[in-house]
Amino acid sequence: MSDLTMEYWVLATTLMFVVITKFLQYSANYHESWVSKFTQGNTSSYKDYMSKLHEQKLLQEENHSISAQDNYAKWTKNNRKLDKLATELKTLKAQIHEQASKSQQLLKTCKLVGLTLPFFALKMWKGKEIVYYLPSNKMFPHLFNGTWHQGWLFVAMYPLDFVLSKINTVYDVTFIASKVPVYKGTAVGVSLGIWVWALTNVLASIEFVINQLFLAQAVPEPVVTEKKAN
Amino acid sequence: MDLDLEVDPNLHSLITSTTHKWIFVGGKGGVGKTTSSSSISIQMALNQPEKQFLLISTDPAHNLSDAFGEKFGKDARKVTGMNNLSCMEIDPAAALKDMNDMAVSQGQGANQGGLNDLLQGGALADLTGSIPGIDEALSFMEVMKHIKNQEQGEGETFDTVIFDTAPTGHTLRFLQLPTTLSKLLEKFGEITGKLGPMLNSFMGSGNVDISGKLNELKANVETIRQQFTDPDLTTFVCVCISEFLSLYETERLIQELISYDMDVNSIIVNQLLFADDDKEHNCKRCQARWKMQKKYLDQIGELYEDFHVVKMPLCAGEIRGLPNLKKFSHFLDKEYNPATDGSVIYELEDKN
Repeated sequence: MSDLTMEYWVLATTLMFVVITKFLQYSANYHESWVSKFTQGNTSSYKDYMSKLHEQKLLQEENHSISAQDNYAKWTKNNRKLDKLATELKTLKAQIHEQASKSQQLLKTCKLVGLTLPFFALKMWKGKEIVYYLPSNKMFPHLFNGTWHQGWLFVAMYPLDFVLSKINTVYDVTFIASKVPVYKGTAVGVSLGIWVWALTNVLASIEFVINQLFLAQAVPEPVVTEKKAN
Repeated sequence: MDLDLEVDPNLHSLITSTTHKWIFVGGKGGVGKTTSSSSISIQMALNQPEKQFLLISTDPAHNLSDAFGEKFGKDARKVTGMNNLSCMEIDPAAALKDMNDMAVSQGQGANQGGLNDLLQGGALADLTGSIPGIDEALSFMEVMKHIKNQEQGEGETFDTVIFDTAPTGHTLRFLQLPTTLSKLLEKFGEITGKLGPMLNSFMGSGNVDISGKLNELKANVETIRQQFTDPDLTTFVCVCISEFLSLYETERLIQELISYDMDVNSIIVNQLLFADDDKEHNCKRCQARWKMQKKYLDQIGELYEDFHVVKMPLCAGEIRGLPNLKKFSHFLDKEYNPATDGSVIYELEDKN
């Protein structure tokens, strides 16, 4: 990393995007409750729902505590109230669900606008900038060197470049995609796009290993019982 | 509904009503539905002699013949001794089943339009079997068809039809059918839009236009619903006895009817002992039972303040035959007073 050639802010922003993406990925299970706390905590329908739920519980308890035969009128009036409450609760629940789904949609849009699109734009803009140079250009085969240096487009364009290289003998390989020739013997760098790809893959691998070793529940061996013959 | 704070404890307003076309009498089994519906019919017929009344039993157990002491069938027949009251007994479910069986056995040739056409080949019946309320709707249409045929046949129309309903519950569940059918038709439209040709070949060469038929059914039910939810045209009279389970069922029935937007403002409480005023035959058991009945009567009063709650006495014998029914039904028009009317309980002619 001592040979870092790119501007620091690009790398810092990229790292920040990666960290935020991973954080959102790990915390996905809590998003719903965060959103609901944020959006429903203060809404009137949510408060109304909670108070009606409380009222329903009280009425149910009261109806359980009295004798239906001795206090028929009271019991029936409570039942009428409970029926009414059940209908109201159903309506309120639907309203709250609708609000929650709207909030979820808003969160998704925020994530798209605030994270995914800027990250994508950054990768498109600065993707081919070299993060650092490899100590030697002999570390990897030529095809890999090109990919590290130019990004995935190099692989896609390789057949065409190979044909053109046969025609044009000046260059060993002509990079149509970048219009930047890489001469044999020059230093090979790792572009930002490839670096981000490698970083996220390494993180995913570490995550997988930790998950498998420490977090995943062991699946018990299925018990096979022999069926008795009739 | 009366706007007075005090609601009359009788059915005088219904008996003298000139607007009501459909009156339903319902309640659980054994509470005196048939006696009550017969009594309402008789009182209406006596109070409005210029009008024609029809009492229909849709209960498979058919008690009208027993109540009046003469045989009635699926065609309306006048009650002996009354020239403006007719009775008929229909089992709509059985009639519907017969018709469906006939349609299946005769195949495509059996279609003569109307309900037969609706049940073409039994295929539609199978499909619609799973729609809640459709059985009741088809049964009810069968009843309506009978009334219509009857009117066309004799040239006599009925001004008011009183239904003695079966104690099966959900009698009027079909009133919710237009909403259910709208949803179903919407779904059906989506399916036929996607699978039209395949569905046609699946349904065979008969080309059963299911969505067309369902639309027709929906329109028919909607028309009926409009009439049934008009409180000037239709009302429901609940019949119960002063016991916990009966009251519980009545409450459920009333709530269900309210959910269908039907008018319900009358409750007949049958089989009351009025033991306090029965000086001659006043046993300990009667006193105890009457005490229990009074407890529930108080609760009824508290729960149904704006209802006509009619308290009817338990008579010494079965209320059968026109003379007995006339005597008994009088208390629907003018409430029973145990102090002065007590003798009627033992005056009923023995028809057993």
